[in-house]
Amino acid sequence: MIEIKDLRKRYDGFLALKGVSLKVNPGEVFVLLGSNGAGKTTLIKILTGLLKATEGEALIDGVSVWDEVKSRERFGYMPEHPHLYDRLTAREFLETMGSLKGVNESTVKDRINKLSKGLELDRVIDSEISSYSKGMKQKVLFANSLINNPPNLILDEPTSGLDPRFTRYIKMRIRDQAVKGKTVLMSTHITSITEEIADRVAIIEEGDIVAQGTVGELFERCGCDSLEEVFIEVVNHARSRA
Amino acid sequence: MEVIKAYRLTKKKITKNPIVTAWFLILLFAGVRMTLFVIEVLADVEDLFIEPSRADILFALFFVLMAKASTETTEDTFNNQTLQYFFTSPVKNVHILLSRLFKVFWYNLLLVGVVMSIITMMVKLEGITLPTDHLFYPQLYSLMILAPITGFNISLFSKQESLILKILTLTVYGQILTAVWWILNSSSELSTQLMYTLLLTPISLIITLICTPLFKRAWVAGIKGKNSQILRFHRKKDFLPNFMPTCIRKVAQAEILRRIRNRQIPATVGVTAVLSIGLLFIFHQLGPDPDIGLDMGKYFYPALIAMTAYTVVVIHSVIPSLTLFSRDGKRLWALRTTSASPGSIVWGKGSSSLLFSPLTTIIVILPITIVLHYPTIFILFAVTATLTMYFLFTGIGVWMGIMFPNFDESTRGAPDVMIMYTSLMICLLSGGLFLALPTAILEIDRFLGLLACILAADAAAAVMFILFKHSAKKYEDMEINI
Repeated sequence: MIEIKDLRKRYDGFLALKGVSLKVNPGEVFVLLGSNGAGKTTLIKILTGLLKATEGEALIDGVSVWDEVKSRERFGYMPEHPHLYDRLTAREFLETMGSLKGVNESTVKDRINKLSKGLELDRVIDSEISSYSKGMKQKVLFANSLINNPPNLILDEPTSGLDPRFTRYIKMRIRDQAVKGKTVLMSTHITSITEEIADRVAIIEEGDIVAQGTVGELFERCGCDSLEEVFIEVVNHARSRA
Repeated sequence: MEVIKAYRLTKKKITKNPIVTAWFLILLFAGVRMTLFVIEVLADVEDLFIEPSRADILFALFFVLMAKASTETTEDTFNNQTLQYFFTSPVKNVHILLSRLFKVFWYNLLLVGVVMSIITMMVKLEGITLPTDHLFYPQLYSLMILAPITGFNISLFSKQESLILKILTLTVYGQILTAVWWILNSSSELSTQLMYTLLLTPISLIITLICTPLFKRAWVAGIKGKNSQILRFHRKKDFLPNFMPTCIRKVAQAEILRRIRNRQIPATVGVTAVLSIGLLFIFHQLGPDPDIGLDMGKYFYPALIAMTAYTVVVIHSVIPSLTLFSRDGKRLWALRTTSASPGSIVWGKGSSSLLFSPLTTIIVILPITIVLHYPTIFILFAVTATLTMYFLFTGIGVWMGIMFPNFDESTRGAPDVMIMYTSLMICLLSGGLFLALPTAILEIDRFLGLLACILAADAAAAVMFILFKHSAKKYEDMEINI
């Protein structure tokens, strides 16, 4: 379970998050939808322990990831940009990450084999990552987020750089994870993907959540029949108020 | 654009770390003063075992700056992916080439200017007499102008993909180096020598311009080579021993693999081997008991071994340690989102440098001490002293690297010059401090000297533990928002 309570983040006088609160339950896909620079990545970086909140709390299964290093076993993270260790092969990278996440070596090996087959990485798994395309690197990132079979998944723009076939594959895998009872929090700015896989959506604008609910609830609230329209209306309304 | 970028970067560094900047300046002045002092003392010594000529000194300085410029060009131009923006814009290749050349040129000239200003200031203020003639400085400046251009061209030619073209261009252009050597060693008047040296600059520049068509080819080959799978070290299973804790072993292993594949480790091992061969060559030339003047013959080899060991520990440990976190840069998210303790991460990265200590012992310490027929106790002392340096310097390198990381993507995490120089000086001073007493005791009693050195190694290990612990705390508190 992922819980965020009145989270604020300030960078040199600029308030990037203005008291965000939300809760994502097990078995649920929760999508953070927002414009570029709205605060999605900052929120995710605080949740993963990469940034420290100025105020408020970010908890994963009830534990703050900033304070308790061990709690980082409880989630898998996929960042937006595929910054990977280019000089390692995907297998070496995943083996290292698996071991550092506390999984024993034989289990890591099995999982790498399964994930690489599913993601069609098996032919290149022993090549250096430097030779991969952006889409292949995204697949490695996705595999990394699942390597320790964590109960929570935090995915930042998971379909960025992927072709339609693999976008569909990733969407299916995300839904599968939720069906298995895992908590999934993902960010995106693609409304069509959100409509397809989200159980609940939060629209974030200028560091604040301006609308939250199921896709149906959001349609009803705005009287729109597409999430794109909902998003534009909610964001425009928030900007006019500011 | 490059000038503005460099200016902003320097300004940011100075405002961010004013204490380090001040410390760097103090150490820079002290370093220059120490060098001038050594030159002054040696100039007064008669029958010195080596009497470098004016030509040797000028050529050595030219060569160092040329090698520096060449390395910088390779890293900053031919391995630089961002140049694609220039190549895909309507800018002539010759303009791109000249902008890159100008960058290397002004930066190195600025560096020479700063160092020469400090030297001139000290010479004037303290009335130091340096053994130079009236045309030494003009000739030095003319060589310092030529060196960056030569370095740029050598990098340009050595980056050609076709082996034949590479050999051909390097052989032809190599004649510039021969010409420099020949001019400096010729019996012509100094003013004629100066004129010839000055002539070489436009000749080199014309060659650069003529070779513009090779520029883009070199860049393409450089980028392709960066992503090449050739000559890479592949491994089937873990190569570090199982007794190391898993997290530490995995981090160290990944670090070593990356450094091998980036050709850093082969390069540093190669330099170590060359230094060791150099030591043996000196022994071959001067014999076991050289007369170096000042009645210092018996200290000659121990001092030489100590200096070589310091250099080797610096290249194997301090410089890689300084970049352990900054080279990761945007990839640091991967380690930080794992549940491995910060201590394991720091120890894993630190051990990747420490693991080279046996190699240094085998390649550098043992051959020279064996050919010199040094007693076993002295060999053990040299090995322990090297180990002391490894512990101490790795601790300092890792700590400095995490306290002052350089996450500037354009430099690919290479250590900042101020931080690097400060770290090297701190290592030199602390190494001297830790090993001075054991060395003094060794003079009186060999066994007690060795014992003192073992204690110094223990103390250095303790310092490393403390510095690693502090680095782990700093790593954990660091926000990763690169």
